[in-house]
Amino acid sequence: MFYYSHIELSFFRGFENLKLELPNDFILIYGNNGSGKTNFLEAINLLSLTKSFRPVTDKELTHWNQDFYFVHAEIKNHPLLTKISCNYLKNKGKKIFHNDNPIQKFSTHIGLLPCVSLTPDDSDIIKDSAKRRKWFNLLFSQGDKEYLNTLQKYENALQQRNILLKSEKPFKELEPWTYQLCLYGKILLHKRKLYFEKLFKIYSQIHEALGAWDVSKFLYAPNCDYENINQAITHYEKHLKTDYLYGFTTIGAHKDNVQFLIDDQPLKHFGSQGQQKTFIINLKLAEYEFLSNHQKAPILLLDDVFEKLDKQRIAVIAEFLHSHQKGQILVTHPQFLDFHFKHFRLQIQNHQIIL
Amino acid sequence: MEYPTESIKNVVESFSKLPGIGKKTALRLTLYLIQRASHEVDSLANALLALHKNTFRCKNCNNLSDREICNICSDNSRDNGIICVVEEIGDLLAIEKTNTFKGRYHVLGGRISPLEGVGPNQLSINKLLERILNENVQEVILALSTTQEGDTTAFYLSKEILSVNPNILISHIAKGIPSGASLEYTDELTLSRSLIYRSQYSVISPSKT
Ligand SMILES: [Zn+2]
Repeated sequence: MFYYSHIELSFFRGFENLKLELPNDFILIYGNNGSGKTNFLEAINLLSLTKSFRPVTDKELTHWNQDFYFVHAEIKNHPLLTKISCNYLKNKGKKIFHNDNPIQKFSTHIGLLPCVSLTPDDSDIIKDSAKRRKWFNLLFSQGDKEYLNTLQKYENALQQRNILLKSEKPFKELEPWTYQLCLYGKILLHKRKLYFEKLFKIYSQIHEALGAWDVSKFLYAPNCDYENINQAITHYEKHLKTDYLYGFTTIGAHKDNVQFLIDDQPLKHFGSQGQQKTFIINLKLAEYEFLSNHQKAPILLLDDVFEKLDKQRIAVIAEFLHSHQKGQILVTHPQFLDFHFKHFRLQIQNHQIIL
Repeated sequence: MEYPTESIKNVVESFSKLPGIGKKTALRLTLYLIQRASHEVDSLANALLALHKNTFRCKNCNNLSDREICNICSDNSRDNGIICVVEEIGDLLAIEKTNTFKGRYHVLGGRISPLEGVGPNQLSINKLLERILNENVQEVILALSTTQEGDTTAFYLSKEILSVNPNILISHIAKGIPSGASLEYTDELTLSRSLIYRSQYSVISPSKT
């Protein structure tokens, strides 16, 4: 399985210049808050998915007072890539290089270096439906190129149609785009049904294996469910008046969502903090298994996940990770942690590795 | 960048507005022109002036022409009953180069894309419908790009065409794998598209002709 064997960070976040060899292993990075451990995982997320797991601009990722950053890695055991770089320059934007060649479309990068991250911000997807949509779209896109292609086409058709609605263009100009929304929406609907079912199956197994007693589940809630294109087109026609009124498309796959439930009640209102945290951890572990089944084994990034968990719980999760490990796993923690299996440790302080 | 003279600066900047030409190439071309004999530069300048003055869009099909009606539209040996609709003149030239099409053309001047401010009114669609009504056209071939915007234009056009002549045959050029390409490296969409639009395979026996 592929792994990052060498990482170089220049003027990225607090790192002025860092060069580091990494083994294909379970890697613990420990250091105080602000030491740079999260930023290190951000860099790996950037290389894998073209952006940080945090909602930040590229300018914010640069080192204090600098107008650029440079993130580079060497990769082993990958069928196509030996080198990957992501460089940002203030007025020129971000560029991604595969084996030193710039790529034209960032979307072609998604899925090449699959990655699952679990960070403290992830609980936002329980509360925020837009973030939840982003989350599952990225997950399914990583596992299935055609999903990503279809999603992009759907979104383009949506934008085109919305412009026509806003400027109150006649129905016949809208029609070709409506047709495309139905066409691509149907593919998305089908794939989402399939993938959520698979993901939920894996999730339930993990939830049980890790000893949770509550019954939590998730329910895919498509905005419109239909068997064939004609049915869909009729549905859009029924909502045409509303669409013209609002100046945008009010129904369709872009409004799809997934509900997280605990004992059949919404998790965001009825789940305790502990239950919500457990849910997110198990969901991310399910994501890891899901992608491993669909794709090459992803890199797994766990940022401060063990914080505030008791020793026994940490041991259970760590043991699970160890027994299900397929590729490189990087875990951060404020203090040193001892695991009962072979692992690799790095201490970080003031954005420097202590040897 | 500082240029030695104002005229050098003007020429470099004009060149660099051309597609595919950067500031560096523009400067190289300009310096080259300075070194040439003045009559050579004159003839280039005149050719450029004539290009604009003497080139028109054909009143019938929107192709480029040095007269009101282009060579293709005024060629009597070509088939009047079939019109091939293309987005741009470059597409027309590409099809002409293949020497396989003997009908007429219609150049739309782009494709529908609201995001880029192009709607049906910006394209030469009414003229096409007028031709279909007046020229006894039996078939319209849509040779549009295989993008979403191309698909949209094809969808829109076919409805409009059928509304003026419900008996006309509308076809679309085959969408598929470029020849010489290996299936393994063809993207999934092209591949699935070429499966949907597959054509009957016939064995050609050379002895029968
Ligand atoms: Zn003409």
